[in-house]
Amino acid sequence: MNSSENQWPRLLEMFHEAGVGHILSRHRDHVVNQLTALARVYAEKLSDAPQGVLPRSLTLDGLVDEHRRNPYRVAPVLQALAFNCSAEMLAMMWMVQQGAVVHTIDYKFERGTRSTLEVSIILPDRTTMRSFCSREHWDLAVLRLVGISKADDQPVIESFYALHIPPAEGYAKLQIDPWILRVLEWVQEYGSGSFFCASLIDSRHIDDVANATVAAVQRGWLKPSAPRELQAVSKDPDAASVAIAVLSGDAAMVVALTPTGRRALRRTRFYRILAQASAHSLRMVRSELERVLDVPDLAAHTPDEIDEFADQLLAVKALLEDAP
Amino acid sequence: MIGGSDVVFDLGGMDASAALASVARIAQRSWPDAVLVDAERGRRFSSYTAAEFGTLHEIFVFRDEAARHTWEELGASDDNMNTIVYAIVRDDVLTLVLEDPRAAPMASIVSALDGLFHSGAPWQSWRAA
Repeated sequence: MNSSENQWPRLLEMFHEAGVGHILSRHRDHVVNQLTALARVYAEKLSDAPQGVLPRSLTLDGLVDEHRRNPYRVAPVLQALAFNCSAEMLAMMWMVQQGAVVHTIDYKFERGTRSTLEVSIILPDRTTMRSFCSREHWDLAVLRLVGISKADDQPVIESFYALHIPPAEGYAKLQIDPWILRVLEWVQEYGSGSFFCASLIDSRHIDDVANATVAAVQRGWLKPSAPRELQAVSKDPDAASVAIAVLSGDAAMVVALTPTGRRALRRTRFYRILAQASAHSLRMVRSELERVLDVPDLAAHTPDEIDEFADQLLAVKALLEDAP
Repeated sequence: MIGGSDVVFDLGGMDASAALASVARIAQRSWPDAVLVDAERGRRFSSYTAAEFGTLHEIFVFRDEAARHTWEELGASDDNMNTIVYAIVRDDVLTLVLEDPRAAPMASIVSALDGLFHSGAPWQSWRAA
């Protein structure tokens, strides 16, 4: 899925707003792959449709823009993605949300053998039909999101409606400020291949680890009630280091390393920038970065200026990685 | 400007823009050439696809372009009876202002929305932040 700029932070917000932010935090590659597949299927299905009946392509920019204009159209599709629905059904849903109408739904299930969902829709020109078929059992979740009604005693399915999904235990409602998003962008851009995950969790799950060394941090930061997959990370003997930083009163950024062994431990200086402040606040993280980068007031700078500082941060990271 | 009857729906937590979009879609079943107009700012949307519901609280759904024209030129008249749905969302309540809720196709529209809001859409469904 193409994008003219880095839409990752906005996408993160959109998923969280739909109540399924965890999917992006835990399975970023899956989300990216599914969005890419959605764009491909959508374009294929409309390649020979009459001109103007629906936009011919779906880009990440388009997705973000539609969320700004009509968030109720986007949220069900993001939830379906989180429910493991196939790109075929996501494309169908996207067309319906844009104004196509559901014509037929045919679902067949045989225990242990078959789960087939076929949907046909009529595009907004009221004549062009498109069919979607899937044998993916998870696609049954599409039916959770169907809006059911009757008109003149006849069945009506007009659209999809997102479910209200409370923040899962361990995942706080996000109050993301631009500064935090910038940090996430750094993680995204510079952490490629190094980070197992970057996630936001409720600070209730974090023990105080003030002034801890990184070695202590990696074993000391999770409470028993923390999300299971994060506990798994902390118990993984190959997980060399886990660093966290409390970024606001309610949320924390979690950064876990995949590289193993001593080499990863040598990287710890970089992560300690975040980890040293893990028990306290965004202010401490920020001040630590300000100290490392020698920038007096990071929050007062423009995103472009912060990008320059990020380059410096990258240099620091590279320096640390090369250290013996 | 518009007389008629009010039909009130408790949205049960549904997002306001989703509710207004539902009105548009349900009305379009009866009026395939329906014209959607932002009732607060007067924007006429070229289609449902192009409509922007995210910030709407009120919407006019006209039966067709001719109905919109007569409503704008003449207001309510004998010639344009039951050719408009005026939908307003405030405080988790959707109000439809209709001339005659029992007349066709209003009764069908009201019935479909009633079913959707009471049984067919998730109770306390998602709403925009």
